[in-house]
Amino acid sequence: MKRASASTGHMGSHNGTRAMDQNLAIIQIRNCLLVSIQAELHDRLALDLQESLMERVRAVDAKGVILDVSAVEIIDSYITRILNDIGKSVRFMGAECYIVGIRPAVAMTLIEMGVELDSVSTALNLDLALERLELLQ
Amino acid sequence: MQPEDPQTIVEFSHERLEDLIQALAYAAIDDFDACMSLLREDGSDTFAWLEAGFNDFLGQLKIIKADLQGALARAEVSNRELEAKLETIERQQAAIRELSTPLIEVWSGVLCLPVVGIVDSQRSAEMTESLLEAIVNKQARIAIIDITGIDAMDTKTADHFIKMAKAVRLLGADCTLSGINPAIAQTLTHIGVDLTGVRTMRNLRDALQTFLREQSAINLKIHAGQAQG
Amino acid sequence: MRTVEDAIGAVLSGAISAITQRSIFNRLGGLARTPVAQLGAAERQTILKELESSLRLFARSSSGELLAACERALGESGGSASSGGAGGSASSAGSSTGAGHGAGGGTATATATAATAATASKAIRKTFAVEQEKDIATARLEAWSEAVRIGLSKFTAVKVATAVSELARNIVFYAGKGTVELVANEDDRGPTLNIVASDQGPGIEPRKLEEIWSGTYKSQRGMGKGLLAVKKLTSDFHLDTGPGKGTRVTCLFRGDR
Repeated sequence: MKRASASTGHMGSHNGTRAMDQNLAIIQIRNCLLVSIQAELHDRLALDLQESLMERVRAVDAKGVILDVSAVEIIDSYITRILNDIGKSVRFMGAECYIVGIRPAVAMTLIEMGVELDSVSTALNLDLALERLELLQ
Repeated sequence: MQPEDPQTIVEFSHERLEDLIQALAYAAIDDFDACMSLLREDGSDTFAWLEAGFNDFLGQLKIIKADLQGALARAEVSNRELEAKLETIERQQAAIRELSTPLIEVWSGVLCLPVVGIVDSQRSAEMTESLLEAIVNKQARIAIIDITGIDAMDTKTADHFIKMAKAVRLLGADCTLSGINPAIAQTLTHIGVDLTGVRTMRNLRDALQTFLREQSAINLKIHAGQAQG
Repeated sequence: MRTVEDAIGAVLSGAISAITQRSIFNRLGGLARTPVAQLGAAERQTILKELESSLRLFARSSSGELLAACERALGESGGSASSGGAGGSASSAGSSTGAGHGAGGGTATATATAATAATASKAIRKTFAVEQEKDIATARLEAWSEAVRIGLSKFTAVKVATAVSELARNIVFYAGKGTVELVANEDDRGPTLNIVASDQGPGIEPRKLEEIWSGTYKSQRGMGKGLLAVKKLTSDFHLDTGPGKGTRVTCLFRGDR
């Protein structure tokens, strides 16, 4: 089980992702699903992600969903809403949603903006998120 | 001074004129000693008046110049002193800034930030930034903010600490506030600060003990789970 | 008669110190006083090379834009800017060819303007057209690198980029199109970055504005928190809006020394 290391990628990898591609692959680790967000989360992509995530949660009876945002350098109120929406849907399906790898500057900015990321749980890294999800069972 | 007759032709040797010019040249380069030695005072003819006039004038110039240079030198010295003082202040400010966020890793994965003194928005921002960076760099699971060194807290300061705790939790670490003194506890109740999501402990030792106890409970549970599975 | 000295001066003033200008003129020698119109191709090349090396030393990332401005000032065809710089075309305020070139169909057109000596200000402006979702990412990236270039802290740079992201998103979603302008400057307290987001969209009604500031507003797309978020992020925030008059948001970020 490797730690989700913070990617050193550049700012905003906005390479025109149209829909789900390898940038947003859903990986299964035991009974958890992991998505590492590398691409720009725009409307269409966010909806696609949400849809395919829910399908997979049901298909594999996942107990948890982990979104790794360590490659995301900017999270504004819009992205926050998308993450909260995903968190809510995951909870409706009876699973828990974790966001891992939020960058310090991103956390600071969200707090100052007064934007709440309240429909998801957070963990420092993949290891800790998996540990907490395991404890739930 | 006698009224001068414009028709009078002043008699003087070429040497005396040369000396006068030489003296003025010395004066121009601030060598007043050499200058004065060239000006004669023994003459009694008309040219001697000119020499005497120059003598007076240059003598005064010498004194004024010396005064001025003394003042300049003094200004220079005090200027240098001021600069040195400014530099010291800047160095001290940097040191204080550094000292204002002494982050200590008291246990593996446990960071402690003892806060002393006045916490304004600039300082709280600096503290939060260093704390968040350290949490991610050291992958610390818990941050203990120890405010034993703070005597009084107003709404604004309390708000800074709540923001700090929220930011820590956003990263996925837990935040514990320790060392709240009775006066602060009363103030916080009085102004109705919402401390949900922020754990409070009497002191650093209690905070650390709680963390260790919980950690071993978690480990036990994981091992039990693995044994069953 | 415009000489090489004038042309270079127009570009360099405001961005680079007089010392740079002096040293480049010394190296150019007699060429500096030559009228631009009489320059041969080889001489142009020499001047541009000298400028480039100076700019690399003194202006770091913005050398691309400044060089493009120089080429324009010297009457070169604008498209041949050798280094991309901030990824946009640029023009000097001193030259009459003020319009930016749309590069390869891109909608985000950057216009870097090195202020002339006449304005006596060190402000550097960059404007981005915002129309599609991908323009939001472009504006955000530009804001981030501009903040880093002028020496704002890593944390502040992320705040700047987030604010631009919010404002650009508002433009795309509510007004359809508009512009985001970044104005880098410096005052006695340190470097400053001013963000001006403006559009000719429908504007915001006073009643809606009240809801926005109280945090109760929620649009159909779940947006509406952006403006309040930006206001909280910055110390200096101005909003000028009303039904039918579009929206203009100005906010300032500063780095302390």
